[in-house]
Amino acid sequence: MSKNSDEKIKRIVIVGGGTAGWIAAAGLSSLYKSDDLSIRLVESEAIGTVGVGEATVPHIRHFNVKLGIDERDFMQKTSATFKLGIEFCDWNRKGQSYVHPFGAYGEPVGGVGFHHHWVRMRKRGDTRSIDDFSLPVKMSHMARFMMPSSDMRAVESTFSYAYQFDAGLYAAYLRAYAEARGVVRTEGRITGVNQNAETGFVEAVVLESGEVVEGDLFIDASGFRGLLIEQTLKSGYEAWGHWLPCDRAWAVPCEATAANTPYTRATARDAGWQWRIPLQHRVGNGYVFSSGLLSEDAARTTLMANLEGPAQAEPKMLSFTTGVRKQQWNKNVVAIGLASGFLEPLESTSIHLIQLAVTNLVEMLPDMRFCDDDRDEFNRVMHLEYERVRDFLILHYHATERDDTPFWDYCRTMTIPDSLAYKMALFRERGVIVNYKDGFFLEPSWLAVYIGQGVIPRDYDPLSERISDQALARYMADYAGKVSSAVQAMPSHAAFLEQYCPSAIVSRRATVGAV
Amino acid sequence: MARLKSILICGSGVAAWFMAAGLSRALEGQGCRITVLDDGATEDSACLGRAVLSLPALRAFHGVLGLSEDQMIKAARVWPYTALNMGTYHIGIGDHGARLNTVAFHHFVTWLRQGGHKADIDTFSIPALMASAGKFTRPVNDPNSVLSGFSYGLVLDVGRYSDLLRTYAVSRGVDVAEGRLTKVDGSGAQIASVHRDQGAPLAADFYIDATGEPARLMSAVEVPFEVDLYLNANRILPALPHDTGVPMMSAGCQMLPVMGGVISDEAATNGDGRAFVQGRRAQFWVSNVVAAGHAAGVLQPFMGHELQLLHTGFTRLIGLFPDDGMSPVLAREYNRLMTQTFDRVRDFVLLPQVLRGQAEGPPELARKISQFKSRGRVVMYDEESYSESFWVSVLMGEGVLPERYDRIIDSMEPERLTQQLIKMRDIMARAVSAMPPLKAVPVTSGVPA
Ligand SMILES: Cc1cc2nc3c(=O)[nH]c(=O)nc-3n(C[C@H](O)[C@H](O)[C@H](O)COP(=O)(O)OP(=O)(O)OC[C@H]3O[C@@H](n4cnc5c(N)ncnc54)[C@H](O)[C@@H]3O)c2cc1C
Repeated sequence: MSKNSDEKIKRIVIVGGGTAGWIAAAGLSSLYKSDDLSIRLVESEAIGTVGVGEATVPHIRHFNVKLGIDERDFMQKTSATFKLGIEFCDWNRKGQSYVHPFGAYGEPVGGVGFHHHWVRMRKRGDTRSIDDFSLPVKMSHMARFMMPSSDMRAVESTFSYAYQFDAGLYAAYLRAYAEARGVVRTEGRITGVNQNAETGFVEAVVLESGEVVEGDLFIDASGFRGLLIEQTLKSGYEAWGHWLPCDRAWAVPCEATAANTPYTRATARDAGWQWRIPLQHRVGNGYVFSSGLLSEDAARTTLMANLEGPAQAEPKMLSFTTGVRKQQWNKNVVAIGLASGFLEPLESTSIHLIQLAVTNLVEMLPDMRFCDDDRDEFNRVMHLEYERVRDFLILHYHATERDDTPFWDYCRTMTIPDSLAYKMALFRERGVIVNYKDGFFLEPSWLAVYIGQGVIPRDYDPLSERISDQALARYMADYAGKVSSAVQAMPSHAAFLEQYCPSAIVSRRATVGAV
Repeated sequence: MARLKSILICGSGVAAWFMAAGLSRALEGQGCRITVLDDGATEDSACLGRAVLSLPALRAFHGVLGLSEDQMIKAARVWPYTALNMGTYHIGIGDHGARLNTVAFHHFVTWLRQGGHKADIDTFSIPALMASAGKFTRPVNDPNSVLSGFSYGLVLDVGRYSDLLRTYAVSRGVDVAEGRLTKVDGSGAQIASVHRDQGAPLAADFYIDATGEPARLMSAVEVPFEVDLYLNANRILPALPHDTGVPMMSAGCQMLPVMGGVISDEAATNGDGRAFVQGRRAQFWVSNVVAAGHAAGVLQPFMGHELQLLHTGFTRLIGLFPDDGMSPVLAREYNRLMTQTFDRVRDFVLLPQVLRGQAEGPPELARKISQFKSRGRVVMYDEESYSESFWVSVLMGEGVLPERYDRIIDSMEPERLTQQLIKMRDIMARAVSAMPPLKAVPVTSGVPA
């Protein structure tokens, strides 16, 4: 019988020290002892990182727990704020906004999802917004925060949260973690790649200094360029620009002028959208746009004109092609992060996809035989994840009434993938939300975006009517009441941060307040 | 668009009465009239064998109906079970061991074996241990207890279970139409009315085809039956029962202990007995008719898929419940979900046969097997009815030992780990030996729902 020990890979080389590289280094070093599996990371300060990627989704907490990271320490050192969701402004119509919360709307009554009951009451003339039944939406509106309750019956348990943090500090945090667990970092620019003449497998990367770094498995975390996965192995790219036409972003940090909001904001603009990510010590901003419909200069001007405080740096421009690498794992190279593909940060999914890739790599970790099974399964699973996120993003652009610019007119009228079209039809018809085993946006997320962007069910589940109008009205009033008194009792987000995890960086808020 | 005012269920047996009972409860107070018209079939419409296993999830259905286990024991000769005896191994209803350092337990079995230890995964499964020792107790709610990681199902006498559901449905106002089904009028692509040997034809807003394999309504709207390409058994014969205390499955022969005896049926590829063809409808819902039980699909007996599929179909139908507009969007989603559900169940039924080299399998199953063989990964698709532990039991039970275990184990301290695993096994063995015997259970306990 063959044994694991006969064929084990002994050396992993991570190419790149951006968020992706350090997540991989931290994740792997938390699981494998360095004498069993050596991990080396090569990065070039001269090349640098993209320096963005500051808003997350709640899954990051599971990842942190697995690493044994202490939350307060983590938040202090990355100058993090809490995130309860994303506020979308002007997406459906100008002047309209909604929050996509990390949490539920109401709770099922009589075995029927809450939103069916809400649609029913609405048809009877009830004008209350579905927001009244979501604790995290109300918390966002009022900028309050408290830890979710572990008592599943309490309304205070109906939300989750993520973080907004400084990308540079996050990478540094993970670097310290990984180095403490034996990951060896090498500074230097990679100028050559040695491949096996027969198999094409990567055997080593060669640094500018002449140093040769050999490995058994290479993780390509080199960013957009895809140093190994594309430049060396030519794995190919599936582009999705026809569904997600943005291909550029200007990014710039600015000073904070108001108290921190516990959510990210995404504001629709003429040819794309602008993000706002509040951290403890500053605010991250950026304009994601379509260069075919708006010049780079004009986009820059729009961004700079829409900052709440003075810019802290020159804006930086990034170009990208939305899509996914045809093979994220090819030969002995596994691409993660920007090297594996790109989905715009509308739902803050990239860091999650990196963590998912690391989890899947652990699950499918190859040995020296590099059997196709391991690779194929990884590629199958990751491709599916990318596609499911993609569909959710397309929904934001497509479900709109806006026709005021060529950009929005295109998005509103474009042909969407079948996998999304049938989901929208089901919701429109009868409020049915499609669920998958994989695919991390769950019911409340779809619900938030559908309703927020004007996709309102024509009809509701007829079984809702097992509950009388009066009983339902009473239940809904009661639930809304519980939500509103729970929010009232919470401290402000700013106050909570101040006592829980004040940023290690000197706060500028005091001086800003005087302006 | 208006709510459905009437539903006509055609058929008899478990499929018809399961749907009638479920709908009568779900549509309570909605003013929807539910009628059952017997099709005169002599064989059950959902179960090939004379006894059938239920899986724990079915308890939720009985819970919604308000049927207690006590009632079921009295009426349906019910017997609880925690594992299916496969001859050389058990398929337990519950976890194996416990996850350590995020690694699924079965990897440790591979690790122990590679290290030269004898490690039988059954000895790390409380429900399997219970079955082989003839013990039974109900699981406890405390997640820290060894007695929390398993569940149990029921062995049901098919005829009596059907009668129980029928009594329930009728007591809740379901009408039984006089006469027998003779002819179905399918005009265009929908059912217009159903004729009978006495009285006027019956028409309804919505129809359920529970007529078993002939699928008389589905045939009327011309939904084809797709023969399964992999499963070969086509006969079910009454067989000689062994004396067994727990459900047993060996060489196609299923022996199910019910109160007062053992019911034994054998699936075979020739001989007399009841003939059947395995496969499923190309669609399960078209226009105004939904298929349930054998009208939807037929699979040889294994571990409770008959009632599981009925239950899933019922739950989905309620989740996508139509109004008189009969939107094709709802039917399309139902068909997508049920097709996947059915095919994944088929894969599970097929698994032991493929592993014994008696049958081929579809690519999805081939991937599952090769991933497990290669590295102990259990690939789970959308709409699976059987959770990971079921697959692991059969794969390992049939002798598939993964070539590799999860490497994270190499970063754990081997001596300590071995001790930990031995201790785990001892705790389980002790817990089971302290349990009361299975035979004592249904007679002595008050058995809550
Ligand atoms: C505009 C924009 C906004 C975003 N917002 C979010 C967000 O809100 N939330 C979110 O989750 N994600 C967001 N992302 C994505 C997120 O920024 C990235 O997923 C994340 O930063 C990972 O990047 P990376 O590590 O793959 O690449 P990079 O940061 O580009 O790192 C590449 C690394 O490779 C090294 N390298 C490259 N070539 C060589 C070489 N030849 N030799 C040596 N080293 C080399 C570089 O030095 C660097 O260390 C955003 C992305 C963009 C473009």
